[in-house]
Amino acid sequence: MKKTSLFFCLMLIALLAFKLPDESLFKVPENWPKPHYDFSKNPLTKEKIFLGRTLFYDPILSADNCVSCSSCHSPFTAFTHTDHTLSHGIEDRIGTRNSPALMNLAWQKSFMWDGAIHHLDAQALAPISHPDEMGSNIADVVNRLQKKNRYKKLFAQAYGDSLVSGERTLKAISQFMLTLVSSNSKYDKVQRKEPGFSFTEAEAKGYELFKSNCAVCHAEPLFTNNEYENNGLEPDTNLNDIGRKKISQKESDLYKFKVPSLRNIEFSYPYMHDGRYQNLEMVLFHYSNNIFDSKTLSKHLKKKIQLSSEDKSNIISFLKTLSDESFLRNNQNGFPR
Amino acid sequence: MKIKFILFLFGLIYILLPKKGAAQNLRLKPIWGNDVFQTEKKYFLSTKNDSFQISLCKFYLSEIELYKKGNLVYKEDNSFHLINLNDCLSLSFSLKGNDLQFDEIRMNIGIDSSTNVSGIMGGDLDPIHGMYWTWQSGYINFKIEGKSNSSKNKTGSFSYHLGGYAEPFLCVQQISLKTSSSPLVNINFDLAKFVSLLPIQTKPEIMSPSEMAVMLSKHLATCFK
Ligand code: HEC
Ligand code: HEC
Repeated sequence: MKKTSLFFCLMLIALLAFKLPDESLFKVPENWPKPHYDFSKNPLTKEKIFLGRTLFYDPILSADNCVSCSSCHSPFTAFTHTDHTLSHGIEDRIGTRNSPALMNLAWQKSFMWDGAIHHLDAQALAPISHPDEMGSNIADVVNRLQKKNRYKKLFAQAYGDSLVSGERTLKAISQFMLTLVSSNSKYDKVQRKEPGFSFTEAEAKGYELFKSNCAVCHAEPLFTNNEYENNGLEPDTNLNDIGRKKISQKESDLYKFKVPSLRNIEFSYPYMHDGRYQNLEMVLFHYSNNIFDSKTLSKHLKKKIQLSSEDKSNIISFLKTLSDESFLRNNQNGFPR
Repeated sequence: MKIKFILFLFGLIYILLPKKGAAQNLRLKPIWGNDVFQTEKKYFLSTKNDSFQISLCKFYLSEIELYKKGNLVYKEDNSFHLINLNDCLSLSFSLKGNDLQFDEIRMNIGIDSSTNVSGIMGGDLDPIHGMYWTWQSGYINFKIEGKSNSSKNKTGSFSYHLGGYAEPFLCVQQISLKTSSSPLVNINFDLAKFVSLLPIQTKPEIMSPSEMAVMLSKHLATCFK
C-alpha cells in the first residue's frame, strides 16, 4: 500500500516536471508540432508574462524614452509596423529592414530575416542596442527599471524578489512573446472540421494552388519550413542586403532570407524583408512574372509558376482565410492596464 | 553577563581560526613579460616600435577541472567566471572542493557552444556585462580595447572582440596547465605575448566571428601559464 502510493507520488512529480507549460497560459494547437522553445528553462507564469507584456509596451526600453517594442510591432497588425516600408526607430532613423509579424514564436528556430538571432531570449537585445532602433543597452535598461517602484513591484511579483537583471528582463519579454499564438483563423477551423466552417469555392481552389506552388516553403500548419531561401527578389542595390550570407559567410547563402509565416498576411503589409510590395497582388505578380534568376535562386522557383489572373485571385482568397481575428483583437495581448 | 562574553570570545576565536580543509583558490595574474601588468599604462613591444595602452580587457574562464595523473578529481559546477582586469576582485575566486590533490588544471577560455545556444543566463553570464553580441546571438569570449600608435584608426584605437560558437568559427579554447596542489594556484596571463600577434596595423578591429578571430583565440590560449 505504502509502496504504491509512493510510486504514484513519484509518477505525479515526474509528470509535473515534464509537462508542457500550464495549459491556460500556453497550449499547443491540435495537430501542430512540438514547440522548439525549451519551456523548462523559462517556465511560464502569469506574473512573468504580465511583466513581459508591460515591458513590451513601455518606451523605458529606449534611450530617448519614445520607442517601445510595440512602436514597430503593433498588436492590431499582427505585431508588425504597417505604415512604413522600413521600420522607424529613435530620432526617426530608418532601419534597413521591414519588421516581421510576431506570432507563433515558440515554433521558430531562429529570428530576424537572416536568422542572426538563435534564441528568443536574446532577441530583445538587438533592438534595445541597435543605434537605429532603440539606441540603448541592456545595462542601462536594467538601471532605469531598478529605479522605478512600479517595476520593483512587478519583478518581485514575478521572481520573488525585486532584483532586476538582464536575464530576468529578457526572459519576461520572451514569456509575453511566447503567448502570442495565432491558431484560430478560418483555415484552422476548417482543418479542425468545426461545424459551420468550410472554404468557399475560390478559397478551396486557391488552397489547391497554394499546396502545389507555395507549400514547399510556406509549409502548413505554421506556413513556414523554417529554412532560408532565395525567392527571386531582385537585389536592391541601395540597401545591398546580402541576407543569410551575412551570418553564415557562405557564398551559397547569398540573398537567402528566412521563409516567413503567412498567417495574418492580410494585415502585415508591406511585404518582403525590405517591404517592397504593398499588396498581395504585387506578391503574386512577383511569383508568376518577376522571378529574378541568380546562382542561389531556390530550385522550386527555377521553373516558371503559371498562374492565370483567376488563379491569383483564388490564392489571395485562400491567404485571407489565414487571418485570425481573435488573435488580432485579443485584449490579453494588448497594452497592459 | 560574563558567560555571554566568554561565549562571544569562543565564537570569535572559532571564526578566526583557520579551518581545516582550506578552500581551493585560483588567482589570475596579468603580466607584461616579467612585470605586473596594469591597464592604462603605456607599454612598448621591444621587437617592434608599437606602443600599447590597454583600457579594457575582459574574458570568460569556464569549465574548470582539476586532474591528478590524468584522472579527473574535481569539476566545478556551473563554472563560469567573468575576468575583468579593471576589477581586481574578479581576478581570484575559490572552488568549492577542500584539500584537493591535483597536478593539472584544465579550463576553457570562453563559453562553449551548448551554453551559447541555451539562451540567456544570469550571474556572470548576464548580458548586462557587455559580453553578449546584440545584432547576432552569442557570447563574446574575450574583449580587449585600447590605443596604439600603430593603429590605422583615426583615434589610434583598437578593439578585438573574439567569439563565435559555431563551426567554422568556433572560438572557445581549452587550456591545460601543469601545477602542484596548493591552496592558492596562480595563473599568469601574459599580455605582451598576446598583443605581439595582434594585426594592429592592418585590422585594428574585430567585432564578429571570423577566421581571424579563431586564429587569435588559438594564440590567446598559449598566453596562459
Ligand atoms: C524600430 C523598430 C523596432 C523596434 C523598436 C523593435 N523591433 Fe523587433 N524587429 C524590427 C525589425 C525591422 C525586425 C526584423 C529585423 C531583421 O530581420 O533584421 C524585427 C524583428 C523582431 C523579431 C524577430 C521576428 C522573426 O520572425 O524573426 C522579434 C521576436 C522582435 N523583433 C521582437 C522585438 C521586441 C521584443 C522589441 C522590444 C524590445 C522589438 N522587437 C523592438 C523592428 C523593431
Ligand atoms: C522557394 C521557397 C518559396 C516559395 C516556393 C514561395 N515562397 Fe513566398 N517567400 C519565400 C521567402 C524566402 C520569402 C521572404 C523573402 C524576402 O523577404 O526576402 C517569402 C515571402 C512571401 C510573402 C511575404 C511575407 C511577408 O511577411 O512579407 C508572401 C505573401 C509570400 N511569400 C507568398 C507566397 C506565395 C503565395 C507563394 C506561391 C505562389 C510563395 N510565396 C512561394 C519563399 C518562398
